[in-house]
Amino acid sequence: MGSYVANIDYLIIFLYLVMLVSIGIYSYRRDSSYEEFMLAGRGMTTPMLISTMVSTYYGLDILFGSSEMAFNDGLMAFFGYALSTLIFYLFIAFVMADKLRTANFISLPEILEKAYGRKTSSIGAISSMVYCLPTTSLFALGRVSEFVFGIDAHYGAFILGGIALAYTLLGGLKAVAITDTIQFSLMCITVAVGVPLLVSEVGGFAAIKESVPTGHFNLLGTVPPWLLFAYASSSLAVLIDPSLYQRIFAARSARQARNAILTSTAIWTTFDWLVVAGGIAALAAVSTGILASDVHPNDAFLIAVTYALPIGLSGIFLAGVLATAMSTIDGYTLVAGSNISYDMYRPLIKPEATDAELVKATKIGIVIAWTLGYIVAFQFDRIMALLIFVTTVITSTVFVPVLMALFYRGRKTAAAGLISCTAGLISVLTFYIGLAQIGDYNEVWGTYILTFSIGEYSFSIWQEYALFFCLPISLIGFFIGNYFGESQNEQFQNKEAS
Amino acid sequence: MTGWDFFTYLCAIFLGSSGVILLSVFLRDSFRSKQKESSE
Repeated sequence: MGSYVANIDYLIIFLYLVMLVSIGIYSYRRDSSYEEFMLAGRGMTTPMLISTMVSTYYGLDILFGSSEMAFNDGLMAFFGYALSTLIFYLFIAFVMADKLRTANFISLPEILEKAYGRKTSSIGAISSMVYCLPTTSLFALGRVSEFVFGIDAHYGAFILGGIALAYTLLGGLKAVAITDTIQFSLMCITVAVGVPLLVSEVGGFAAIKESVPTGHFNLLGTVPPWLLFAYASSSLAVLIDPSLYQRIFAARSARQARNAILTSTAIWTTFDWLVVAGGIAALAAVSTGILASDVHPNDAFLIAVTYALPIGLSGIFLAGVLATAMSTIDGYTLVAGSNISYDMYRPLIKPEATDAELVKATKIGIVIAWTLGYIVAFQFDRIMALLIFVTTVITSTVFVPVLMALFYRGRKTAAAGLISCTAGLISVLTFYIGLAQIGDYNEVWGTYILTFSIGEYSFSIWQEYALFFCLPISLIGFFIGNYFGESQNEQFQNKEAS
Repeated sequence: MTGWDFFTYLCAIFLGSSGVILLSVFLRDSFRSKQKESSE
């Protein structure tokens, strides 16, 4: 990797890192209120809102994950996987944004608190916090540091992740949004220049088609249909993504939130396609001998684009890659910190906490979340498996109660929220642990699979199918709780009568 | 040039110009709010 990076590229990366810390210092306000710190005073401009939405959700897992999938399976990475997520974004823009913004919520667990009470919101806060821990980003940041700077992944993640932590602590969402805007622009411009250069370097798609397996140009690839459906279902997590919710809450109006999501969706679509095209072009570069044959599919996109870009632009591209990870770390750590302060400390320990105490507790929460994320990041060999597990946990736990709180017009009881959350959480843990015990580990797919036969038919249950079982269990739990429990109003009336 | 090449270039133009436009609008807004703060 070092042979593709010149000294001027390193200088650009260094200047970029200095700029990030300067922005944190510039955004620092000693007496900022909680709403200013967490939601930038609900006054974010549209460009900032778009930038912070796009860059927070698109981390290195997308950059590496989608390009790796394209490298291995071809166009399926775009048509079978990425497009399903984009459809859910359209649903958020047209159906959910208005409800979320006009209700003036501050966090996702607060939706649960208002609909079902504090017990349910506490479970939601824990799931949200675990989901928002910056594990995958810190792991990926360490990996990029190894490639770019040749330093140990632990030190790289500590130093670069530490810079993201510093400006988040100093400036809250305002600093995060300013840095995200710059990071987003870097990411867009360099990917937009780098991928077409790479594609033309390998001779265009006509030449690519000649040098990669024919299955790579099959729109839905050669992946088993149920697994494809399971990948698409995992995209349901975007409908309850705590960080995306925070951006919607921070918008000036519901209309501004909707427009920002629609613009972001168009940008995500083009970004997704360019990463997929880059992944396939990287495979062609390996097949034709332009790149070394021992390139890991995970790193192929990074190496191929750096190779295609001229000196100077490579530095901006690598700064953009670091930016991709850092913008995810700052955004999610901020939300995890608020889960600890606003959704756990405030309701459970100090309900009368002042604004200043909440900001202080949030900053402590941010440090706790970052530290937990750092510790967990280096405990797993397969970080993508952890990512899918965490996504499945939050979807199984809060998807049903949150969607019901927003859209179900009938009576809602505290028991419905609590049983739905708990049943979802217990079922997903049972499914994962149970399948790891009785299933067989498949080296090719990197997952546990249980195969059994009924009569002459053979069936396979993959760990990725967890949502097919856990979501219906959570929904049944909701209706059982609703049938037997008392609604918030009935509880209040009973207390008054006694 | 195939359809895939054309689509790639189209996406690149859209993504690159989005980055430039958003950055310039953001810088313009920041400059204006800074001017407003200093005049107050």
